[in-house]
Amino acid sequence: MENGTEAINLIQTFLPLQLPGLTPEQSLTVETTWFVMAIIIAAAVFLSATLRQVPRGLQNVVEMLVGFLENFISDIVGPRGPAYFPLVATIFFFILVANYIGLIPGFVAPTSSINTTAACAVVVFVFYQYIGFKMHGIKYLKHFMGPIPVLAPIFFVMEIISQLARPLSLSLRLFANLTAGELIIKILMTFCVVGLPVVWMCWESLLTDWFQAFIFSLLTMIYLAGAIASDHEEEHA
Amino acid sequence: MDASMIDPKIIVKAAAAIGAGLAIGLGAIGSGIGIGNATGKFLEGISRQPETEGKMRTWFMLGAVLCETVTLYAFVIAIMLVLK
Repeated sequence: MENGTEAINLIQTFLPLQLPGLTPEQSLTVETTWFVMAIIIAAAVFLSATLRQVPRGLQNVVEMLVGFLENFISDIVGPRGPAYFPLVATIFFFILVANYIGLIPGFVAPTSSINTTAACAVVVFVFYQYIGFKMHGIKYLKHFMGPIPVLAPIFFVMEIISQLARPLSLSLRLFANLTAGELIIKILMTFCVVGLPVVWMCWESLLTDWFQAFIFSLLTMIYLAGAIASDHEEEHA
Repeated sequence: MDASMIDPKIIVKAAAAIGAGLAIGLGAIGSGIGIGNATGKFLEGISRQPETEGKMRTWFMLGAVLCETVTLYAFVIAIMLVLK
């Protein structure tokens, strides 16, 4: 910021790298994303190497989260749900770690860049459309036609627009929440560098960060459920 | 000072600032009411039938998030206006 409270970027201090073709902010985002990936991979390797019958410490926490997600996905998507557990859990843990890393002074959350969130949203969008087509074949398009054959063209256009709005809102939600949080920290820093921003950081860590990760995976599950179940309902009707 | 001497760029910037404030302020009204309604109904529901809380909570969160999305669109518009 202009008035001397410019944040130090730990990543750029240790790894002063300017990736070709990117602006400094973008290359910082990419490097922080690598760091997040390193944390997740290291945690996965470490935890699977030291698995205990009676869980202790971090294993407890991760087991709780994984168990919660697993129950949740079979609740929402149904019996086919656990097949898509890897995607949902990967997105959940990536966004969770990426959100929380923004709270450490000297790091910028990668999810506060629209590029990261849009990438996640596009992956989800393409994946659930692919699953829909794979499950139902060309009949999947019937789901877009609405209940009345005469009005099918209108329904089709509307449905296409609402389908395209999904990745948009998915990426914007995460991006806007994180950006708003970071902006508020920056504004509070101009009032008082010590203390005051921490109050907001606590609030953010308690409410925004895990909740946004959870919501992203919840919406992924709901979209998947819609793609899988679309034909099923018509059979019953 | 003659009005024609003011740089039009400044007028555009001032208008963009006012527009950004209005966009996020008016945009927040709707989702505030929406989330308030959703929370109220959710609490009403679980106080009538406490056993449904688990299922209702998921749908309540989904509804609250969908309400919130509208404000986020306004937020993005506001940012676009401020950075203009």
